[in-house]
Amino acid sequence: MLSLVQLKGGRGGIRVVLGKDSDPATVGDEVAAALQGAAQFLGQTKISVEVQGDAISPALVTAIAEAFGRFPHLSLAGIGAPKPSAARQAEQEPKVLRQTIRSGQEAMHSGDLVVLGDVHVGGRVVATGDVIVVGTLRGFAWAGADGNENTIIYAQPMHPTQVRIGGVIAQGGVAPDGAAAEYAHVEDGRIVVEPWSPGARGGSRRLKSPR
Amino acid sequence: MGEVIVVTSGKGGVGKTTTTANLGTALAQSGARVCLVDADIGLRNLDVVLGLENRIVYDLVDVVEGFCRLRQALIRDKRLEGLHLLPAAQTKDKTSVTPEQMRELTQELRQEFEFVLIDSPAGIEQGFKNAIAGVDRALIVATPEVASVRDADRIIGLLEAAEIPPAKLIVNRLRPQMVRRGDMMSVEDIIDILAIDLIGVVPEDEQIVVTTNRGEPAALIQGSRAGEAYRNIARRIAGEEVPFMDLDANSGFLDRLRRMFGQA
Repeated sequence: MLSLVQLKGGRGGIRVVLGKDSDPATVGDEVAAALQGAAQFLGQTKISVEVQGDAISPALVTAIAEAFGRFPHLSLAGIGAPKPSAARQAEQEPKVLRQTIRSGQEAMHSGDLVVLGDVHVGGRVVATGDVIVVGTLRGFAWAGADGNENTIIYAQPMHPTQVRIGGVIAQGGVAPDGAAAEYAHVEDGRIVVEPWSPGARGGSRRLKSPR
Repeated sequence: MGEVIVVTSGKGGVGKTTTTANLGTALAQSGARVCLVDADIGLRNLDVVLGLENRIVYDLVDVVEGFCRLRQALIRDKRLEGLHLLPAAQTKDKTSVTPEQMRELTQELRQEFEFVLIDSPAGIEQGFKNAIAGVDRALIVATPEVASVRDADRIIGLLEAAEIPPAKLIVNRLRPQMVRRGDMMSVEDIIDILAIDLIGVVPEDEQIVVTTNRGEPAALIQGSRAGEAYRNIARRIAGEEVPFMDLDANSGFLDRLRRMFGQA
């Protein structure tokens, strides 16, 4: 049987993730087992506990606290529900703007943002989801603005001043002659621009990091 | 009821005041009643370019604050009947007038004049907001420089936000030879970036320096290339269809000869 308790690391530190319908009677031992297995390399760490599924019952909290009590060098940073995932954000309505974003103008949306027009130098388009520019992108674009690196920036073509996807930042540049629709995404921690249609002119290019 | 038109640019030094003076002069030459308003309070220049500096008694701030009647502050040009100037105050600053007061002022002016041209200050702050209050349309002056075009783009966005109908573009100080060498942005490049309609192109012309210093707008002088360009723009403002000037100095010996004799 698959363990209902998992240890995960991420940008927010180390978390213990509990599966759905964890039973307060057994969860203490399961958490302790997970911590035990990793106790050597955990050192003195603050660990938070993420509970998926239903509301967190007082019995569950007590059980978790007791399990942590067995490891004096570890401290419990908190117990809570998982942070909203990328999948949940995509469910938000996309926003469509039928206008040119000129210098000094900024369009922001939580969810996917579609601009039917050009984004000029000095203009900014920022979205927590994908940024789709049905026009030329010459300004600044940021997709996944709350940290989601699984988003894309689309433009036809892109000559941005700067693009960001999640926490990855890249200097822009000029698209090669004849480039049509392109999209930028994160690959191995860097932003890569590729033609939207495979085999289209232009080809793939990696954007420079500004630092 | 007359029309209120603002001449603006965002960036300073691109030729807003020269353009306002010349367009006003050209419109008045064609017989229209024109009032030029210097909205650059604290840094007044339009009176100098028009050669009317020594005739100022009251100014725009005096009118707005009720020290004098509008009619008392207006200066009538002696060369051209129909051309009037409402000068800016020199001792005050932009905060001494509000957009609401400017709206009232232009409303009053449009009762009496066919064209009210507002010379906007550089920048996007209070002075700019005053200059665009109550206008019917806007003319954007840009020179073929990246900084000027960038600022023009910003201004176009702000005009859109203020719900002023799409602005028309004047490309100023173009040097066709540099464009041909690939050392200067072309008019097409600028239009491509700004995505607005062109209303005229004014070539770089040494005579502008001479005429502005003398207080005698180039539009008054026959044979000045810039003056001719301004006269053409004025006709387009008045609704005439005027073909764009051929600025290509390389268009052949005969053309150049003809131009020398002022027939082109």
